[in-house]
Amino acid sequence: MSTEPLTRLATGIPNLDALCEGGLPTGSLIVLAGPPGAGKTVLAQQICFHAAGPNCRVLYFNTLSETTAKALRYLRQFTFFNAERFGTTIEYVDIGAIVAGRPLAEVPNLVMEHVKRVEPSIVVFDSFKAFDDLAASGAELRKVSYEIAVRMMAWECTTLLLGEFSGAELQSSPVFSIVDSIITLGQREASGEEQRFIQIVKMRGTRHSREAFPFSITQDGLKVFAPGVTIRRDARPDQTVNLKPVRCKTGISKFDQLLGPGIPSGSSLLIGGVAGTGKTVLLLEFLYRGATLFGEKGIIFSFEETEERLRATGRGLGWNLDEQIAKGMIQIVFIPQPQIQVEQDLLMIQQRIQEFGARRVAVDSVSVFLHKTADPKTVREKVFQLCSIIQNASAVGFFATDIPYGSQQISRFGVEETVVDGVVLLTATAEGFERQRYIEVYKLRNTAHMKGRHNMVIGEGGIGLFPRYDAQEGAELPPPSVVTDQRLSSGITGLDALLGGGFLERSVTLVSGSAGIGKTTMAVQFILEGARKGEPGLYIALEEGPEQIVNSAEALGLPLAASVANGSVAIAYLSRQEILGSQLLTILSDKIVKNKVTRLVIDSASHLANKGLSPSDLTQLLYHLTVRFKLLGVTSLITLEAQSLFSMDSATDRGLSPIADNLLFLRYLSVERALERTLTVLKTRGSSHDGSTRSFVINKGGIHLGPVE
Amino acid sequence: MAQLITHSECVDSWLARARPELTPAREIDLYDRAFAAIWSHAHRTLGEITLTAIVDRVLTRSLKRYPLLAKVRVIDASLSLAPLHGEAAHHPHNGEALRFVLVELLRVLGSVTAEVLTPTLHQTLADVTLAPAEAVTPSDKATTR
Repeated sequence: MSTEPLTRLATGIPNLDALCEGGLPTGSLIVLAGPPGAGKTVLAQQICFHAAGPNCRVLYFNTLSETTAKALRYLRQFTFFNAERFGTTIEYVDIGAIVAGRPLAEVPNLVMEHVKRVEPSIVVFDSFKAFDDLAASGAELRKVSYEIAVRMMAWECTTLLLGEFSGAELQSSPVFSIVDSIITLGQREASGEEQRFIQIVKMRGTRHSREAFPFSITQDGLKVFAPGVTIRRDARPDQTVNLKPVRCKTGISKFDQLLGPGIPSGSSLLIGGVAGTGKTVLLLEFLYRGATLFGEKGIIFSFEETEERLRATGRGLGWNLDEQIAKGMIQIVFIPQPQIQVEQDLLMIQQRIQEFGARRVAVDSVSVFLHKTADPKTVREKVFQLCSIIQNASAVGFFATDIPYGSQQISRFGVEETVVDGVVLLTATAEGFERQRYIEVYKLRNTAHMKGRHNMVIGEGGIGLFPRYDAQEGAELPPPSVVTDQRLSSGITGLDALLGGGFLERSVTLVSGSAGIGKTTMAVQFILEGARKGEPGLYIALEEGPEQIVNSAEALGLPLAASVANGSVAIAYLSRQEILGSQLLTILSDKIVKNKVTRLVIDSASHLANKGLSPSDLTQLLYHLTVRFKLLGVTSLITLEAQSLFSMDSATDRGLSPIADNLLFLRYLSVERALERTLTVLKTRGSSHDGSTRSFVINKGGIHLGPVE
Repeated sequence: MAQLITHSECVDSWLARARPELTPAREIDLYDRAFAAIWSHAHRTLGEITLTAIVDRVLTRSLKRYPLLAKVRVIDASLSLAPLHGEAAHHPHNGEALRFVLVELLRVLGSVTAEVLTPTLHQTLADVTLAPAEAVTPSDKATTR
């Protein structure tokens, strides 16, 4: 027995051949059934014009239903129509008039006269149903049909019998037992809209789907939409031959830190969040960074925002999105919601990605794209097909999904997350009178990613992420030790001696002082001493503004303005927004690295507590800050306001002393109806120190220590 | 094309064995037997209506190339070459035309049956010979091509 596959006739109908193993079996008898206007004639004509050629002649019989002239008039509007083939490789015979009034039994011979003359590979009867009217009886119709079928078989003609056959007729009429294939076309309501459907009811020798698939008729003819069949997921090379996967860096600020080694190529990520959490911005920036930082093409399919609005979003964030679009690096495809045709659009998406060569794909959003789909199973299937498109293109897909407000779901329909490779959740929670944005990599297959929620802001430049300090790399390691053979001068005469020669490099000094006693002055002198020695300093102001700090310093004759002007000292005022939400660590780290800072002041840590951090959160934050400073080689000084003017019973009032290498106390001493400033070095880690209490004054030049009392 | 060569080779091989030095008339008899044998074998599987339709196609195509075959008909459920006897028997293209018909018949029968019938049809053809009594006579030899 031959195991060779049947030879097939490619139809030229997009995606139809995929439904029937490559095409119609050649030499077979095929019924194209459907009500008037279903598209039978267009389908048959399209097949004929696609296949016709010197080695494939077509004989097209028009019957009583439609005259040749009428058919041709409408046929001309289709792009597949080729006038040169008309009358040469495709011959039309109007047998309607010829057979009218003659016995049906003469039809086979009449047909054969033309078949013998033309020797066609394809024969079409449009419509075969017309013979019903000519038949004197059912028996005669069967006999004639059989005779025609046998002769077409003997001539190895692929024969299309068109007709307005009903479903009942297809089931019961013995005429159809002789045919090899039955294809029905029809129209019905689906997803709230009337859609055309095509179904292969029967096709001998062919494994075919029995589903009904939507199709459209445009000036290009029929196009079948069968993404479930035509979109197959290719095997990923890295999964089949154990290769290391190629990974994608998003280029979005700190997002890649969360994503660990990166997103495996071919992955699709669901970007979930309620309205207003920044999904569209994340999608756009993913494309924008890909184009500008990595030279990767990106395409966004938007079902909500028009191209102009997306361009405006880019401009609003300070991106030159327009330029990237003009350069052909980014494409925006806008499909208005009312025009969404899921099956059709899936194939369009596949085609656009392939043609553009996109490596980054954004869909905004799958929840709108599938909003007419009520069945979760179908949603799952369609998302799977989207993922397959991404995987086959070796791209990375970001699919936005609108989570219903107040729900515990992580996607719109509750099933998408089971199909995709990763889930990123965007949230916005009310904290006091404000709302904070957070981002969380909830799931990312085959990737060790950072867990938990991390603060996120959207502003000029796009998205800013602030990975939580306890989740960052190295957070679990002990802090590096101070450098015992390198000391930095405090800038205050006499203080270095108390410290055993100055601050040890990479040490953390906590200056606990009463209100107005001179903590800021000491901090300024520390920074200026560094500036004088070419050690870049960063002054983080949490209470007073930079101008106030500079003016106060200048009033004491401390040249802070000049140091700021020449860039050796930077003063940064951090807003409440930047202090909260785990942003501080990231902001400071970035500034330290950027300015190559070796001396740093935080003035004052008390302010952090006043801005809503709990005591334990403050301790945690300062701990992670000081560890980070040490890792970056920075020697830091942190001021802290003591709640007592006089007492030294409590080192810091807040239990912060363990984080400090050096503890300096500034307290008032009541002496003869006056308050005298005093300084005591309470602790120096890794060094000896003088623990005596020294009085000091603040005047021109800053702090001046008095003699030992 | 590969199948056509196979059918051609089969026919040529058969002719080399069964048609040494035959007169034109005897050659027509030989083909007559071959068509009868093939018809008989294919008929069992395909039935008369189908086989008649196939032979009709083969003759139609052959006639376009060899008009001398115009008188060949399907008679009494078989392809009859009897009308070729007489003056047509000496037509210089007789043998070529009949060979074409035979190859085309095998080709179409093979093609419409997905070559399922081909091996047995080839064997059937290989077994076709003229009986010893019908062997070449001295008078035949003089007119053998």
